Amino acid sequence: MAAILSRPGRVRQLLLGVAVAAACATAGAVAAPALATNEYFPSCYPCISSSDNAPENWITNVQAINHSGGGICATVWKNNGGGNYQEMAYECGSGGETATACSYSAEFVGHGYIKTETSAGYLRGRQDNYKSCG
Amino acid sequence: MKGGMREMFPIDSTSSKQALGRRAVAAAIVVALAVAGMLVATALASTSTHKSSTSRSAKVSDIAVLRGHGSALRARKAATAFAPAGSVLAAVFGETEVFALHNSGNEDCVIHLTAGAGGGSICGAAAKVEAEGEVAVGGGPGPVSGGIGSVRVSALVPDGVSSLTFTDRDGTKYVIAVTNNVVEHEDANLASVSYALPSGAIKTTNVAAVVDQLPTQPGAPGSSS
Repeated sequence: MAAILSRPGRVRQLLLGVAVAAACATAGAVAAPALATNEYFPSCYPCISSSDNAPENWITNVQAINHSGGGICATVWKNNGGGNYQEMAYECGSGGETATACSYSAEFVGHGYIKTETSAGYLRGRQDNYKSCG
Repeated sequence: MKGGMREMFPIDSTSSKQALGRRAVAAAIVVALAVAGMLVATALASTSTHKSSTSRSAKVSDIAVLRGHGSALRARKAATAFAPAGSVLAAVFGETEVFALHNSGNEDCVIHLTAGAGGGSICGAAAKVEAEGEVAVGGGPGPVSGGIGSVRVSALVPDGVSSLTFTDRDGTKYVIAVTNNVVEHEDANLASVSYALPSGAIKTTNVAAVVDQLPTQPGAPGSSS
C-alpha cells in the first residue's frame, strides 16, 4: 500500500482505470433502455375513441386508462403471422379504472389493444416489454 | 525568530508520534460519534416514517390489508417477482398470488399473478374502491388462431364483505369466502359476480357482458374506432 501511495503515477493510473470502468458502465446502462419498448397510444391523444390499437412492437404488457371515467379493457395480442393474432392476456375493470394486462412470457411481436366497456371516451394506452406488471 | 516556533512547539520524533497517536484516537472518536449519530438518526427516521405511514393508511383506507392488518403470508410462487413495488401479498389461490396496493396516485389496486401464465391489475380511485370495492375480469392466453382464453375474476373489497357469490351462465350459483379483502377465481362459464356491501347495497359485475364484448382479433396496428 505504502509503495503504491509513494508512486503518484500509479495512483493516477489506478484512478484513470476506475474512471474508464465507471464511464463504460454508465454508457452501458444508458444504452440498454434503447432496446426497451415503452410506447403510448393512440398517437392522436387526446381524442375520443371507443377502441385503439397500438403499432406493432416487441411487447409483454399493455396498460389502459379511461380518462373519461368509464370501464376499460387492455389486451395483449401476439402476432402469429398470416393475419392471426393470439390473445396473450386481457384485463378489464369497471368504473374509471386503470387496467393492465401482463403476459409474463418472453417478449414477442404484437400490439396492445384497449377499449371502453361502455361508450367512447378519452382513452390512453401504453405497451411495454418490461418484466414487472403494473 | 526562526527557532521561535520550534521552542514553543518543540518537534521531536517521540512527541510527533504521540501527537499522531492522539490525533488518530481523536479521529477515531469523531468517526465513531458520526456513525453512532447516523444510526440514531436512521432509527428515528424509520420510526417516524412507520408512524406516519401507519396513520396515513388508517386515514385513507377502509381496507384492512392495505393498512397492514392482513394475515402474514409468505410468497410462494415465482410470479411474485413481477409484482409492483409496495404491493402486499393478500392471498394465494392455487397457482395465483393476489396482491393489494395503494399507489402514489391515491388509487387502490388489485393485482393477480399466475406463475407460468398471464396476469394483470386494475386500479381505481381509493375513495371509490374503499367504499364499493373493485372487480377485475381478465385471463389468457387464448387460442393461437384468436379468441379469448380463460376467464378470471379478482376482487378487492372493503372490510365487512365476507364472501362473493358467483353465478354461471347456466344459473349455477356458488360462494367463495373473502381472504384478506381479496378473492380470485377462474371460471370460463362465469356470468356474474356479486357481493353485499356493509351498507346492505349489492354490487354486481356482469362478467359475461365484459367477456363477450372483447373481439376475437384486434384491429389493424395503429387504428382507432
